[in-house]
Amino acid sequence: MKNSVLPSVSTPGPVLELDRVAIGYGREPVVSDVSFVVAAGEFVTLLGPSGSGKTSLLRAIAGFVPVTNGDIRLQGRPMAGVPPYERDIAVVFQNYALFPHMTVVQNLAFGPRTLGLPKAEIARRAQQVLRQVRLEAFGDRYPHELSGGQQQRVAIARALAMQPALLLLDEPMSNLDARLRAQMRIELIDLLKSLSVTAISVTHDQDEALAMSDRIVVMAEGGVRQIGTPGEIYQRPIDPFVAGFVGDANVIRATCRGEVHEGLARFDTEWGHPLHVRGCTLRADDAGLLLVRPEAITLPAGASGMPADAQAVEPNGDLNQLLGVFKSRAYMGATSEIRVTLHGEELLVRLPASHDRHDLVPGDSVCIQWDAAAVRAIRR
Amino acid sequence: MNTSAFGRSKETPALLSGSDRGAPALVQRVQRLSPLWLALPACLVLFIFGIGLLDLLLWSLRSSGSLGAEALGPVGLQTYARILSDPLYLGALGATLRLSAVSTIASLVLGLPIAYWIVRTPSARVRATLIMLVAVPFMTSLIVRLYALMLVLGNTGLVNRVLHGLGILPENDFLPLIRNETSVAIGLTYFVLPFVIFTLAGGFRRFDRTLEEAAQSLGADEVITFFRVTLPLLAPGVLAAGTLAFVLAGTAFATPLLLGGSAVRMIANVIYDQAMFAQNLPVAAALSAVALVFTLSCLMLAGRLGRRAHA
Repeated sequence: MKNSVLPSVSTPGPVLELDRVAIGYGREPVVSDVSFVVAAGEFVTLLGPSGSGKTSLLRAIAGFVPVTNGDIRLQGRPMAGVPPYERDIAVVFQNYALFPHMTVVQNLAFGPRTLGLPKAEIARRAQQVLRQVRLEAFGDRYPHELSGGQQQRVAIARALAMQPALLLLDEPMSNLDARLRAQMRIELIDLLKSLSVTAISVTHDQDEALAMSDRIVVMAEGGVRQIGTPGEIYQRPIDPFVAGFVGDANVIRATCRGEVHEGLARFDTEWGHPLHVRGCTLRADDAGLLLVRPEAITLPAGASGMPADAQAVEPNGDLNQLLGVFKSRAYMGATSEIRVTLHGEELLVRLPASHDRHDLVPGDSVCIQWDAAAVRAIRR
Repeated sequence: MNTSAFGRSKETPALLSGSDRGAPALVQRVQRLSPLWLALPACLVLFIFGIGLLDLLLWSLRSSGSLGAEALGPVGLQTYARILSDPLYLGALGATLRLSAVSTIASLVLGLPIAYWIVRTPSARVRATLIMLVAVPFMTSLIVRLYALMLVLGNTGLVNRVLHGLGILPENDFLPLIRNETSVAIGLTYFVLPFVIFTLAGGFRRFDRTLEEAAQSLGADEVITFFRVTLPLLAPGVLAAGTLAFVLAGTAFATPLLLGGSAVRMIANVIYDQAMFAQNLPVAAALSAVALVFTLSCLMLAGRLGRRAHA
């Protein structure tokens, strides 16, 4: 039983440590050299496309998949050879995996029962988690009598009833419709934070990762690409993959020409247009990629400050200016997504709908601007 | 449906228009009929079956008469009283119950691991091979399979020859494996095993393995997981397979006839003898009714147990 194996000491160290973890089925490694640490009370998201190894990693932490190399330590204790039922970990499965032959309350009591708790405590815990997910009226229902959202709450409650050191969530929102998903994100985070639960979630949904996480581990091809807070990941992506996977990014190839002003570096695009970048770590003559978020770009209204000759537009201090050709507009409600062609490359511009330039028709030439600080320069 | 769409427009399929002017009118008339008419063929079939069963029940209430002749004697339950007091018929009923039970248990014991293996093996080739091994005898004529089994079980058959060859049995002795209840039980098990395996495999396939992982992540070890999650969820499938086996074995005719000969009489054999040779159709009909009631009660009991397991 979990309690006897793992005395619940409040360890001051990290809840979970992954040290150069590798996982392989057969010869092919699906995950290699993954290291990170999860602190108590943290909500960490493993974000990546399908096949990035995030689910395998989650299953390895839960104990369903053996680790072929490296170490997983839970509260300082190595987990190698420890079966899932002896790990102080509870899992919320993607399909919820509720026991269909048990009522909601019986599902909730399953975990506390295996812990060997006294009957009164089992019942108390089941009622407590039932209250926490606001399903008091549904305790005697069977899972198939509940809606998808209610089933998800039961799955979360069942895991919380274990009072685990670590909660694992496998694509927790993927079976909910868009509206419910947005609502459940907030509810789940509020609940987990109020109970100080340490949790790792797996998702391929960047919005979910940004909205819920304290930190995000971006994974691709079985390895970690970047670890950071949602703000760090979004604003300072380490490579074009992260930039493109977490939000949208325009990528412009350019070469660094060195510092022109304090903190301001000059780049030349492949077609020879100068651009200014603030806070750049590249040296002169480094080939780089400039990442610009679509919402950082503006289309100044009217002809004001619009030069006649496209090639002659120079960056004006912190303000980068280019001339492109308006291609198309997609109205998204709150925003308008505008595509502008720039020397054969397509640039995505996302404007608040109220700032949309309705005077533009496809084929018009248009001046586009962005701030030098809104650009992220990375080595190619 | 817009009937005017038919008629003589150019798009009308050749089958419906053509030179025959009656066809569109027929289509229109059929379309005007109530959809209830579509149930007519099914009702006809049920009606014929119903008449047959009713006729059988009427026969069972008379006291004598043979196939193709008039039913004679007063209407009453005298034939039922007769078969339920005659040790010959009671013996056949007892043998039927006994042999069905033995072959049901044996086929479940043999079928469970095979069905589990078929569903859980990670190798597609192993799965295909196992399914073929079960399906080939399943699709072979039962008579052929029973003759094959006679060759194996006979007094000079494969089993006895192997036992002689290994010196386990003396040359002048043999294991009696034919024309007794043992051979019929083996034959019935062999007969129902494919049904049991396929029914069980269907139930196992529907079982969601993440439920076992969920149980383990909730602190249940393999034993607790098996008894509290796996077994309760597989039970309806096992029950269905067991019911099927019991009913199939209980109504077997060829297996006891070929493997049991005159030594083993199951209910179907007695019914056949009474109807075809003894010319006593009321007894045959009453035995059939008893067998039918028995089968129906098995199915109802299984249905009730199954509902409880699912509740």
